[in-house]
Amino acid sequence: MPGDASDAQSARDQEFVRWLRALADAVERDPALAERVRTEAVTGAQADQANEQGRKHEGHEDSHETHETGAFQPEGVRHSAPGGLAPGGCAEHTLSSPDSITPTLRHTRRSSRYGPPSVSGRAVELGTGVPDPFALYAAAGEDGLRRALETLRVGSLRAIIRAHGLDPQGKLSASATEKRLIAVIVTAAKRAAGTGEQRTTKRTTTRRTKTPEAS
Amino acid sequence: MTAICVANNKGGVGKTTSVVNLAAGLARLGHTVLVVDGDGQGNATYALTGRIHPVPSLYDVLMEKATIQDVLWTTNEDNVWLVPGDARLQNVDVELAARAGREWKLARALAGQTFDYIIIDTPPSLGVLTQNALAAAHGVIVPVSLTEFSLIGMDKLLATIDDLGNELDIPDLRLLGILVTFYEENKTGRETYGILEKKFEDKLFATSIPKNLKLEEAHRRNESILAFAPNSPGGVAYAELAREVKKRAAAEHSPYSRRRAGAR
Ligand SMILES: Nc1ncnc2c1ncn2[C@@H]1O[C@H](COP(=O)(O)OP(=O)(O)OP(=O)(O)O)[C@@H](O)[C@H]1O
Ligand SMILES: [Mg+2]
Repeated sequence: MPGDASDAQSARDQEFVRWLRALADAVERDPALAERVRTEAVTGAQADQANEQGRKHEGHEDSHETHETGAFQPEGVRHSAPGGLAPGGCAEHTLSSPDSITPTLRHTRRSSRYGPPSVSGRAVELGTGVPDPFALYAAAGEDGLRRALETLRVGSLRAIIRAHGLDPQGKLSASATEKRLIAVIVTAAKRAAGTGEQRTTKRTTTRRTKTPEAS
Repeated sequence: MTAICVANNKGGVGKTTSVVNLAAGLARLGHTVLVVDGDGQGNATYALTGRIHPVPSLYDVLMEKATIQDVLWTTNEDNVWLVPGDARLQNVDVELAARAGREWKLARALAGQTFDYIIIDTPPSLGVLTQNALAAAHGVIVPVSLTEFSLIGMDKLLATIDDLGNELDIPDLRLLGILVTFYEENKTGRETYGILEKKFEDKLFATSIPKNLKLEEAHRRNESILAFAPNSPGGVAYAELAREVKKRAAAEHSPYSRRRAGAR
């Protein structure tokens, strides 16, 4: 709604979310695009830092072709126009400067092929092997546990749930999202802390006895 | 116990994908499997645990600052353990250059392990890390991606593995098999496969791994394809490969300790 700042903001946010989804879809389909986005994201992040002060986010000419609303035109610093990437389409792969998405797409590893998103806040040490959410909760609290879990993907979250027997009835569906898996783990850790329950690591325990030791 | 090294000095041919999913396949056949991430990119480590360049890692083992037991991780796959790799492995060539017996560090460290299978991932080069992996292995799997230029350099690679085997005096190191990856059912795919079949005969695994985006997706989710999409073409292929590898390994079994007892 013209003149209504908060409506405009939320439309912008929604547009941005749609764009991110389209980008994710395209990236999932096309490894070459994934590589490009990642490279540009990293380069963009560096350029972003270097030019922090002087830089004006002026929007990109071609963004108007695909985003009629021009909704990505920034006033903010971060969510400026990713431009050129047609939501839902992406066939052209004409992605211009993606500096707007560096906060979520920035990768920390040298090899750019795989990597989880960086998560803001102080890093929480996950330990070795399948993480122990009860220990993490005890050491870093709910926020810390959450932050730690947010750096992990489905496979690791499911491993935690299996290893610690957090879904004894097998209620979690195969398609449960990361958000849902994190909620299950955090709830279990909180509950255990609240009741002072002693948790054992199911799988780790059975595994240890099976772990072939050096002879 | 059978130790298998997955090697090809070409990048992006599916080494890491094969290590991770073969390990998952063997684990699902009821075996204990240790994956050793011998690549400084740490992709196998990421795929199996979601962690990036953890320390300590295999690097510390090769530098004799840690033992395998010190860096033995559980993973996202039941019955698969991991010795993780981190970026410092990229310096191993230089750091071990002047050390005697540098190719035998891994073999020595692994001697005495009693996993059913040890599967070692390697970087896309034939440097000290790959030499360590070869020296520690009974068998080598060479993935060959069936893309246009995949066959260029194949002969040289196989000759180099042979040379390394001789040079390192590993008489029982053998080619377990050549694994076709990124297979696509089209004219180029069929033709290239035909050439490989003629050339390598029964050294070519009967199972080939199709090009399948689910494999890439599984990687990003830090799941094996057998956990994520067992019925996908990639999932079916890696389950089948595990059965084939098991058969081949059993047919040509040689005890680990005998050879490694002499590891310098
Ligand atoms: N059969 C396949 N179909 C589709 N994608 C695949 C397949 N095998 C591997 N990939 C993807 O191709 C890329 C390269 O695979 P992978 O990392 O296994 O190769 P690599 O030989 O280990 O590479 P490097 O030499 O860099 O270590 C990855 O993104 C992976 O997910
Ligand atoms: Mg690799």
